[in-house]
Amino acid sequence: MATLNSGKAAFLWRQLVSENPMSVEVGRFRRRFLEGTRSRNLNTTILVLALVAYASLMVVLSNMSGELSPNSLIFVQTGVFVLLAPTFMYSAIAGEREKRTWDLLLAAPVTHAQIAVGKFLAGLAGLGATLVLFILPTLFTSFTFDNERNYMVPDSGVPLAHGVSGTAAFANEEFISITFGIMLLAATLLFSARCRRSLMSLSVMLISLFAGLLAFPALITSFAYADAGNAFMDVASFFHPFLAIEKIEELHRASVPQGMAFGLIQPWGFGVLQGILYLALTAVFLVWACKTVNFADGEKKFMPGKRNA
Amino acid sequence: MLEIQNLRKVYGPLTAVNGLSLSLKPGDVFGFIGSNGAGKTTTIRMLATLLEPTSGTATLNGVDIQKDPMEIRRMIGYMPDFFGLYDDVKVWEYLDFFATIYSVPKAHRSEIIDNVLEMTDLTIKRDAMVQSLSRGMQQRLCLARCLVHDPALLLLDEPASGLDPRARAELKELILELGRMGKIVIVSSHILPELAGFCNTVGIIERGTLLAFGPVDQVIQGLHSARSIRIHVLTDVEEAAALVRAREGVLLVETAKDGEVHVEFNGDLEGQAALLEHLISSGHRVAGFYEEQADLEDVFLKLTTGAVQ
Repeated sequence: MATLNSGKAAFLWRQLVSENPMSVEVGRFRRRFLEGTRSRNLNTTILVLALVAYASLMVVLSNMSGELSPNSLIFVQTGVFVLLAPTFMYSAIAGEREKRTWDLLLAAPVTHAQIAVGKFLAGLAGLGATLVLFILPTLFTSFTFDNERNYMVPDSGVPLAHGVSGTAAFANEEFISITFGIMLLAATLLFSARCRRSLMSLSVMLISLFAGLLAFPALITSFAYADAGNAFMDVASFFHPFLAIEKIEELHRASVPQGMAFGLIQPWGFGVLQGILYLALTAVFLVWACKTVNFADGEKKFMPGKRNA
Repeated sequence: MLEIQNLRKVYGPLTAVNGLSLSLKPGDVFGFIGSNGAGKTTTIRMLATLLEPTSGTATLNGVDIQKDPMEIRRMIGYMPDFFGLYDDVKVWEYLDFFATIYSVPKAHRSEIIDNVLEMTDLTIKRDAMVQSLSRGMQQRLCLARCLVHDPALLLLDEPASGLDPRARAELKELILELGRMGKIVIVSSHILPELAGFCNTVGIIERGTLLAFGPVDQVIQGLHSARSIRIHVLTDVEEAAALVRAREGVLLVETAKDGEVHVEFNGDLEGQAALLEHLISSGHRVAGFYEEQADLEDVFLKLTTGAVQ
C-alpha cells in the first residue's frame, strides 16, 4: 500500500510539477512582473534602485542591531504576502478568459490540474522571491535581537523565562507566515477560476481578506470582552495569522504555565498546527480550482439559474 | 484521415448539431458553410475536444476524440473565431510558450518557431510585441501558433473575419499551402466567396444538419442539373426565344429587353452547340452565348432557408 501511495505521489509530482508543461508559466510570470514591456535600460535602472534600497534597509537594520525583533519583520512579511498573493493570482485564470486565450489552453494537451498547478507554481515563485528578500533581514534580526535586554520582568532587571525558545518562535512564526501566503495564492486562484473578470476575482479576494482578517476578529473580540473570556480569542488567534504570530511571540516573551491564560488552545497548538491547517486549505482550494475550470467551456453554468455563454 | 459519424450535440431542447457525418483525407481543405448559429462552431469545438458530443463519434487517424482527447489535442491546431493573444509578450515568446505547452523538444523549438514565422511571413516581427501587430499579422500569428506542433488537422473558425482584402488574400495563400503540405484543414465561414477560392471540399450546414457535402464541383453540379445559358441576340429577341423554346431539352426561356435570352437547358455540351448552330442558321445574329457558372452562393441560397435555432 505504501509503495502504491508513493508511486501515485511520484506520478502526481511528475505530472503536476517536474514534467508539467504549464510550469512555463513561471517564466511568463517573471517576465510580466519583473520585465513587463519596459526597455532593458529601464529594467536595469529599476533593479539597481531596488538593490540600493535593499542595501539601505540592511544598513538601518544593522544600526538597530539588538533592538528590532524578527517578529516585527515577520509581521511585515505576512502583510506583504497579504497584498502580493492576490496581486499575483487574481488574473491567473479570469485574465485568460478576458484575453480569450483560455480556450487555447483548454484545447492544448494539458490537463485542468496541470493548468491550475502551473499558474499556482508561478505565483509560488513570486512569493518565494519575496520571501528571499525578507529572509536575510529576518535572519539578521533573529541573531542580533537581545532577548534579555528587551524582555525583562518590569522594574526588576530580571530577564523573563521564556515559554517558547527564540528559535522555535522564529521558526513557528515564519512557518505560519509562509503557509498563510501560500494559502492566499490558492484562494485567489480559486476565485480567479470561479470569476469571469479579473477585477471581480480581486474584489472577492479583498472582501474575503477584509472579512477574515479584520471584521471577523473584531466581532470575536467584542464577544470576548462581553463574557466569554479567552475562549473566543483563542479561536480567533488560532485561525488568524497575525494574532497567531503575536501569540507565539507572547509565549516567547514570558513563561506561561500550561493551561493558564489560554482558554481552548494550549500553547503547543500555536505554530505548526496553523501551518498544517493553511496547507490543507491550500490543497482544498487547488483541487476546487481544478474542478471548477470546466465551467468556462460553456458546458457548466457560471451561477446557478443563469445560462453561461 | 478524419472520420465523423453521426455527431450530435444537444443543449436541453436545442439540437446544435444533428447527426453530422463526413470524411476528410490528408490534403483536403474543407469549407464549412453555414449561417450564424448553424452549428459550425459547435462542431469545431467538439473536434477540438472543448465540447463533449452528446452522441456519435469522430476519429482522427484512428484516435477517438472522446476516448483519447489528449492525443487528439496533440494532433490538432485550433484557431477560434477570436484572437487569443497575450498582449504583454513578444511574438517569439508567444510561440515559445505554446511550443512548450505542446511539449515541442527544447532543442528544436527555436528552429520550429523560425520556420512557422517564415511560413506566416512574420520573421521580421519576431521580436515585436504582440500588441503592436496589425490585425492581419495577429491573425497570421494565431495561425503560426496552430502550426508549432505540426498538427495533422487544422480547425480554423472564421479565420478571415475582420481582415482587409490583402490580409484575406495572404491568408488564403497560406491555407492553400497548408493543404499542399498534406494537412486536413477545416475552415468555417459564412463569407462564401472567401471559401470558394481555396476549398476543394465543402459542407453546408443549417440548424445543425449537414445539407450537402462533397467536392465543390460535385456539390454545385448536384444542385444544378440544368445548365443555365445566356444568349445575347442583335435580332428580334422574342423570335429567338420562340425558336429556342421549341428545341428539345429546353426547360425554361425568359427574355429581357436588352436582347438577352435566359435559357434553362437540360442537355449536354453537344446540345448546347446544336442550339447555337440552330439560332445562327435561322438568321439570328448572336453576339453572346455563354453558360452561367453556378457558385457556392447559389447553392447555399438554394439549399438553406436562413432559419436559425
